[in-house]
Amino acid sequence: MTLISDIAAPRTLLRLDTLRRLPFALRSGLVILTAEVVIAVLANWLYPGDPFDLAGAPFLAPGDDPQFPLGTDILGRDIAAGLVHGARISLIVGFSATALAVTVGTTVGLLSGYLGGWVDHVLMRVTELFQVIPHFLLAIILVAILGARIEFIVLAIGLTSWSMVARLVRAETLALRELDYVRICVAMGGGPVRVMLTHILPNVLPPIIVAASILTALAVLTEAGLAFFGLSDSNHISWGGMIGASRDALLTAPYMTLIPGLAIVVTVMALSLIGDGLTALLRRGDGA
Amino acid sequence: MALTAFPAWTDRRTVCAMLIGIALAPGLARAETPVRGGTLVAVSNPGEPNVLTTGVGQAGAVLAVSSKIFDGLLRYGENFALEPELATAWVTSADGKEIRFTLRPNVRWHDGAPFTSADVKFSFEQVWMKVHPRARATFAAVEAVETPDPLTVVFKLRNPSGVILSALNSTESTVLPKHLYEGTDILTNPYNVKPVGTGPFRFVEWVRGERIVLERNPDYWDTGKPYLDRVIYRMIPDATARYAAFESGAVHLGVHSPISINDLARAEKNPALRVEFRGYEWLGSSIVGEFNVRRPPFDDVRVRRAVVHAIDLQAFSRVTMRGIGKPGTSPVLSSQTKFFVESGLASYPFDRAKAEALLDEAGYPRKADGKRLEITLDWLPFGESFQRFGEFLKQSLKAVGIEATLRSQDLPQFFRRVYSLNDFDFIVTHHSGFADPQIGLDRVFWSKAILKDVPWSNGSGYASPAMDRLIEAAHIAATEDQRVALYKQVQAQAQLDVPRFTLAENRQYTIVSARVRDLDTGVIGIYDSLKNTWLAP
Repeated sequence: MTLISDIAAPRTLLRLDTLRRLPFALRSGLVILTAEVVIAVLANWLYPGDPFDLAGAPFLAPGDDPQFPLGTDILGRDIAAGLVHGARISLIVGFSATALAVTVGTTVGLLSGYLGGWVDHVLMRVTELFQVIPHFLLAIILVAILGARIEFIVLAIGLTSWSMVARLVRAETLALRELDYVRICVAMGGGPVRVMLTHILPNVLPPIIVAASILTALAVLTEAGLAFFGLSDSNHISWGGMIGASRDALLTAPYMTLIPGLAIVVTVMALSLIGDGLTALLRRGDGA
Repeated sequence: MALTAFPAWTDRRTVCAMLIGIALAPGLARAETPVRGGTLVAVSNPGEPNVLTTGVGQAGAVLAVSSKIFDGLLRYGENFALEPELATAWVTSADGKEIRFTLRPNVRWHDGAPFTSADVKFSFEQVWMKVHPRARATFAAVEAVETPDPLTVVFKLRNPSGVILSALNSTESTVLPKHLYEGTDILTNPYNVKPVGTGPFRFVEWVRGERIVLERNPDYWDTGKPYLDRVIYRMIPDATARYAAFESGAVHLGVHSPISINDLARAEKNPALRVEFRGYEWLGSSIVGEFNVRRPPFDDVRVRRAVVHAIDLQAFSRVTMRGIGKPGTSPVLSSQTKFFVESGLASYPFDRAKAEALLDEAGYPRKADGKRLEITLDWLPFGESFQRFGEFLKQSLKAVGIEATLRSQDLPQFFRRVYSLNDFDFIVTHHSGFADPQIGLDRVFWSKAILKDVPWSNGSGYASPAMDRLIEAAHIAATEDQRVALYKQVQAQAQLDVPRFTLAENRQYTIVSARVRDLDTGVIGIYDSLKNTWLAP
């Protein structure tokens, strides 16, 4: 478990030699994502005011006006400001939806795998139900019914992506519960909650963390996809929303969609790199 | 391209040469002889119609299709000139209290049944006066419709009425076949979706979500017409995909601004396409803001005025409509010269300080967080442009401390919210002014037009005794001059109370392939029957 604390504990992360020991993919992914988080946190300082403000003339291409380095959109909103503020929504939606999916998925997986029997049957049938429905369609339907508000978008994405985590955790739990130290704990009188939380959960965490990085990337993409179809919270600027709003001008001003599109590509790539890096790291750990 | 095409066309060289000549000299186009045949593909816009006859549905997409299948008593040419259609002659009596129509003989419905005056009387009594949102105002003066013989219809009036002859075209007053509608529930009659008319094209099939197919009516009364074999309406939901369809030549015609305003300049440069701004005068399209005056904060006229003061209408037209629109000053469009009041109406020029002062006065001071009040802002789901309008307004209001939450929804939800539940604060919507304010304005300012569940009626809930007096006086005005004078007062009253206001006079456009010839560009050209239109090979 030292490996996990290597990644999670900031103390070790900050040490350059520890960072250098990490796989290249993981390192670059972390650097990009950290930079994005910093930008998102500093958004109000970098671009004070409302990113929806009609700041300048519409349809300024990047470079047309030094005041708007990335240009302005259809209504004259500053694209750079939108990009910086949009990072917040994209990341918040990505992380919150993943947190929701991981919480629900882990709980279901643990209960299902550890308790077995009818609990397993019921929970797995429910999980399969969520697995067989196309996720993006279900998310569209949920947002269309609940309304295009940020909390509902998080809910819709979270609800459509927990099933993968549940299957993963269940499979790990099934293997772990047969191990001697778990059986000893049970023999010593450890109740199911205690065994699940203290002995099984810490050991299923590594695959969950890998899954979470992939899920976050998927959530960012899903949010962008929903926004493209007009299912974004029009009161918060987001990258997907910026693409959706500029779709009208795709032929005349492609930069309006390309710039936020590129931001999404970079974010998703960073998250995928982290996922790949973690997988490599864990495999190396297994071998050692 | 053209050179390599020549060898294969050797036997048609003359034709080719002629076509090139035509292309080089547009002046010659007028002298062209129409070519018979061909299929004209149009795009259904906005969206797909819900029915195919304007007798029971008045959305733009319905009007476009229905106008090919049905005839009106009259049709309107350039400058609102009246032209005969199902009626060959119309005479107004000296006292103005009787209009006598002579109907065209030997006209048959598409199912072969003869068209007679009974169909007109039935349509008036059972369709127009019962299920149409505007007919009750238009025909307020009509006491009875008489049919002395199968080819004569007489409108008996209580008082002279200048509006009736402006509303007898096929889309506004659709004549439905009595033999198929009598004794049925008009709104659920199966022929609403497989219409039987007298027009130049007959209904063939409607594949939902995909296409509507119409074919030439071989028994059309205007012998030799139409020229086209078929007219097909295609459903293409995405604006960029529609533009691609025009550019590739897959689609020849689209009305109601079928492509994004951002692609307009590109279309104008494309030699294979034409952009046509004419043909919308009858429709009188404008973009309006409308308040719910039933509840706070917009029950207070000062708050409504503050909102208008807070909006830079010049910038609204310039930014959201890319300059093709024009700021509104009255509920009547400036193109309706007979009724439009050019100056002297209450106006609310862009002035944020004034807006803030009015809000202070109304009891909405800025709170610690800078906000005065929070409202909802719903935009009519007629495409992306309305969302842009909503976003523009949200930012404008924010500057004076009004925090608006934008809400998006589909059309049935929007109609339900505004016209059934009345659960809204402020909406940005579309308004059709039509040829006459009696058709266009009564339905939004008359208290008797507050109709539950009826879209495009008086949704704001505005009821003013002063306004009602003006409108009702106009309905029974003895002379046309008096009626016009009263509608000028209606505009003054509306601008004073501002239950709704014109954000911009809309300029819609038609996109048409250069192959399409003799497209009607009269005041209601977009709802023309296409009987004179033909496709160059």
